[in-house]
Amino acid sequence: MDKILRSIFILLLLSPLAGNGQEKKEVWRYEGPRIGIDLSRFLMPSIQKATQSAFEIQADYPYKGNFFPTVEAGYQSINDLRETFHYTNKGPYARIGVDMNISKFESLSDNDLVFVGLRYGYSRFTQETLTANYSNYWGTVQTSFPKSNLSAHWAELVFGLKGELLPNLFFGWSVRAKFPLATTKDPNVTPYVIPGLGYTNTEVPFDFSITVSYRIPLIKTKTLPKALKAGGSKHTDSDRDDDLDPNDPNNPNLRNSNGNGLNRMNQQQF
Amino acid sequence: MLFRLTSLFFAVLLLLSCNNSSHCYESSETLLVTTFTGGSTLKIDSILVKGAAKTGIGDTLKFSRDSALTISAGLPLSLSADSTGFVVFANGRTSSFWLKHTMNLKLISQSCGFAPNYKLVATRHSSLIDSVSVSDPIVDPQSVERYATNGQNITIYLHLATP
Repeated sequence: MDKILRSIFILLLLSPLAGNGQEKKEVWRYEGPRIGIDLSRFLMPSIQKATQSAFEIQADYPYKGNFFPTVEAGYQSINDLRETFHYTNKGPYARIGVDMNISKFESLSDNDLVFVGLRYGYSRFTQETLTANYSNYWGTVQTSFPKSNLSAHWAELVFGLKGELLPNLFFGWSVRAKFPLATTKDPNVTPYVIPGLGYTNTEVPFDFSITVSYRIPLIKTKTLPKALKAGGSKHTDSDRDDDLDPNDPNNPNLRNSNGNGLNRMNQQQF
Repeated sequence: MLFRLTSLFFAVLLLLSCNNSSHCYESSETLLVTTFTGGSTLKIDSILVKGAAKTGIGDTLKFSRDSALTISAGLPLSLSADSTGFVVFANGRTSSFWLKHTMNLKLISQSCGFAPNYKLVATRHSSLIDSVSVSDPIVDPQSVERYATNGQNITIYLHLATP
């Protein structure tokens, strides 16, 4: 894990150097679907020393600049062998929801996000207790509970950050408060972990994710999304003007003033 | 750059703050909370409780020489049989009682594991016990906590007076 963290750190430090020495290019804003993986699902078992494995993929798509409809799907399994019991639990899960950027994009090349979001989560999973032991004054009992199919629904509140490390490559983290809505009952073994929801030993489980994602730059545009009113200062036309270099020959404002008739709000699919 | 470093800092912080606690902070011992009494005037001068057919020195479940009107004890129930018997030595007299019950092992939590949950369905006692009163037939890991200051699962009324 140290190696991974060290690599990420070096990547972060080097990323601003990547653009040095290059000629000034025309600035476009790129948008498109973003697909990523949740690194924390891989890192957690090594940190917690728990016998669990999981993976999760995430995807979002920009909508009106500041909204990102999001889909997350994954699979989690836990094989918990303890002194007094051996429990397994595994299954897929999915979440859908939306993230809302609450920060202001400073320029066309600024894609960093501070976001809040909502999710609805669903998991269909199986659990099995291979052995369960209990000892007291009268002796020891050992039993097992067969595999049972269960499902769970929950809601999540999300807060997080996403920063563009390299062009189209994003790194981010989020913290999540999870609100279980309904879980299939098992009379003897209430699942203490639910794929996608996490451990259920508290009423509001908290979780986090660390994501690396790649944006497929399907759309390029000169439009800078307006900041949401609740997010602080309002974007105005003058804000957008400030984002462009007046000495830049590619500045559409300059070309407009020269009568070239180029529309600075154009949007191009490719 | 600042944004990225902040992001990385918090990500590392989140990772490091994760701690999978393996300590059990809940009650995982299931005991029948039992009150022994000789009535409102007769005190129990000494009492010793053992499981039926348990004769070893270490098999004593409760021993007290403190004179009191009521004495409480947490008694474990059988895990394999559907009834559990106890022998009571009180004020020099021996009596016994049996409890018929159902049992299910239930998961308490990941760190505490499983514990039995019982439901008392019938009682039986010897002639030197006046009666057995069941006030709460559910015996689970929370019973001891539930009746820590007041209440019990069952009350054993002993014949303490000289016959």
